[in-house]
Amino acid sequence: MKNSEEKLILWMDDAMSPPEAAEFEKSLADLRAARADKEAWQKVRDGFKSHSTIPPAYDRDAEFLKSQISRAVRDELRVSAPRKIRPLPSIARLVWSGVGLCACAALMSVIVIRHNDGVPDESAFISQVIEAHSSNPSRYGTYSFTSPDGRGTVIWLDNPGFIPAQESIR
Amino acid sequence: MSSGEAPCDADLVKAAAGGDASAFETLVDRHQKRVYMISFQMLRNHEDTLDVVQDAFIRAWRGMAGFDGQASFASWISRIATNASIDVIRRRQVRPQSEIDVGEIHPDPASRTTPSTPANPDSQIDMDEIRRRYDAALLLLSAEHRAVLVLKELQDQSYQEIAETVGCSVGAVMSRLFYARKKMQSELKDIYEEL
Repeated sequence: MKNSEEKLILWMDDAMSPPEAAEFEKSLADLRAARADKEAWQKVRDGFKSHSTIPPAYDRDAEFLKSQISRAVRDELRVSAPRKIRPLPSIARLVWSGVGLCACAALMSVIVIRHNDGVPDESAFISQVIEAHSSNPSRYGTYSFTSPDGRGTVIWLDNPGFIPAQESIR
Repeated sequence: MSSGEAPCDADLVKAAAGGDASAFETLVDRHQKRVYMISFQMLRNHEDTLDVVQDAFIRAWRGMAGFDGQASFASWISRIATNASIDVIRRRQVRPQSEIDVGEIHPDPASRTTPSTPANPDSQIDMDEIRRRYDAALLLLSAEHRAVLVLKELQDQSYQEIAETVGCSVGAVMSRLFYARKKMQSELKDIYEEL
């Protein structure tokens, strides 16, 4: 059920069916005044429409406005873009990494062992040093040994201040 | 959609919802002027209108993923712009009328709706004065009354569309229209009686 305001609006906008309009007009106390009011509003509406045009300033600023919107949108897009998250390594990848590391370690060991094949056992020199060590503090503890590959090795013990000349030239 | 044919709004909306900024820019290009008009007719201030239009489109971009597509993009963005304009009017209700930018509201001579006026300086002064009176009368209305008046009389929206845009019942729209029209008529009585 429409109230009187709603009916009046529909009547002024010519939005009623002819029977509805006729019935509404019958219900009005002063139909002449209502019609004058309707006509007055139509004049106001026409003036309202004709004075509500787009300002020239819009044409001046339209491109600027569009670029501002585009920039804001692209900024938002950049800020809200989800960061690429690196996934956790799979079990298979972990297993293959372990196998690779083991293989590398084995390879390195083989290389090192082969490299050291021609070198005499270091403990042989150390035992010679220990055996040759004199407990006599008056004696300079300087000894020399020859390694199996022919190179001379000087072991300087007991912190002497110098190497005796006959030893150093050997 | 065949190649060379402009994509429809629905396709652009779908692309924009997926993060396609170019598709959204095409939508802006299509609807910017109409959105500007709706806001300007309510605010009567060019600078405020630029802010509202920008804000409306950015809000639309942010809400694009949630746009269900039941209404057209045109009516959706109109609704956003109308409500943003209502917010601005409410905020500036305390602002003196003298601050309203009447210098910016001269009609575009090329506009279809501009009345054809003779190039007579006196006549131009009259037109400017009448325009100022209309603006002043409109600015006296509350945000809600102004919105329904603009959407009905200038945007030719139906009562139902207005109700959906401003978020009230059809009865409330009619009631607001009734009071808005009465107010405009009383403020402009001397003008229309001379017509």
